[in-house]
Amino acid sequence: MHLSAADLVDLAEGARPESSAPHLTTCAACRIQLAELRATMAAAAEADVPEPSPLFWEHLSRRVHDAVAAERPGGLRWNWLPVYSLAGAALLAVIVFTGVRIFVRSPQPAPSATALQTRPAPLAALDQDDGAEAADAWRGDVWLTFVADLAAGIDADAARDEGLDALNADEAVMHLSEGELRELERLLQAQIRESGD
Amino acid sequence: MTPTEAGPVRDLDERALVEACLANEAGAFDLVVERHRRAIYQLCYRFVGNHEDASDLTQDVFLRAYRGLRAFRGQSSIATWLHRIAVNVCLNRVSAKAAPVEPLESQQVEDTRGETASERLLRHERGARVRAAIAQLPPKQRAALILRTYHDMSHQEIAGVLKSSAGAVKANVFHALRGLKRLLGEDL
Repeated sequence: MHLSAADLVDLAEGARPESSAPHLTTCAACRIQLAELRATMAAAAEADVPEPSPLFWEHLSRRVHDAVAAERPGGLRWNWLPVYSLAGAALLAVIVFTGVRIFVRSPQPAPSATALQTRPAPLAALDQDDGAEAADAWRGDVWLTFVADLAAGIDADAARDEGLDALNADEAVMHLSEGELRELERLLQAQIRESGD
Repeated sequence: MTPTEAGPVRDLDERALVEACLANEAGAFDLVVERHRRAIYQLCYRFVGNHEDASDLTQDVFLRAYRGLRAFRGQSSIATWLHRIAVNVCLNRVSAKAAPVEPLESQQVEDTRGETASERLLRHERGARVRAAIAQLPPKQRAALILRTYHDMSHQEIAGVLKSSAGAVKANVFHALRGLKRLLGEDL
């Protein structure tokens, strides 16, 4: 009866002495198995894991820290993303429509609104295929500025009474998807045209 | 709060540190990560054989650990508990896809240990072949061999991680070594 796998592993690891397995003295096959196990263990033990860059560890800790912080209750704004993604565009449009009416009728000049009404050449040009990515970034910046200006003119207390969080309208723009940004642009331009008539 | 500003939590014992984590004390979980990140990364690396996947898996392990803190009963050490999570994460990953093994040329910072260049090259080559062979082992054999060889866990502890028995763990180690021998062939 040859030695079992568990017996051979215990012997190879030194968990028990060879003297505890008298079968070894009479069985060449088991002696060979034991020798091969020890050689393979030694080869495996020498295989180190390549050490990454020293910067890696701090970077890893930072990534974990940020991921954990995002999961904490009452944590980051990222938790609001699903709300903004699903209903944010519509809610934001309602907030901004109110602001647009105030803003367009204001005697002060509104460079952001003007820029959007005339659809500046760079944006139009960048709507071509090559500049799509840059156009998206530019579009987001313009709308962010515009919405921030509008939100600044809204009565926050009145908005809150209506269940709207006007103070976070500009922040909401930062988290809208490309499709939502385009829809917001369309709605705002329609409202501006209507309010300006 | 940066990951290194662990402050007074550094003086806490393991049990108190877990309590501090559950209480969301600043720097507590960061300290857990700092103490165990290297071991967990190395375990993941040995499982998947490349830095990118190992890095992602390591982050995943700690995130899951954070989420599962309330279920941690303290019946094992934090290290064993983290190893258990890591093995499960790695087993799920290797069952989902075959991980690429890092070629020799892409290895990172090295510890030369006063070797000659040719000795260093030979050592790297052997190590790469061993890692590549380990990555070809069946998942449970791979897990048992890695935990036993590189993380010095007892067969009983490994059995707890793999939800197995000590005897089954020894059998897995045995077959893993036999498989490794077959894959490495004349290199041994």
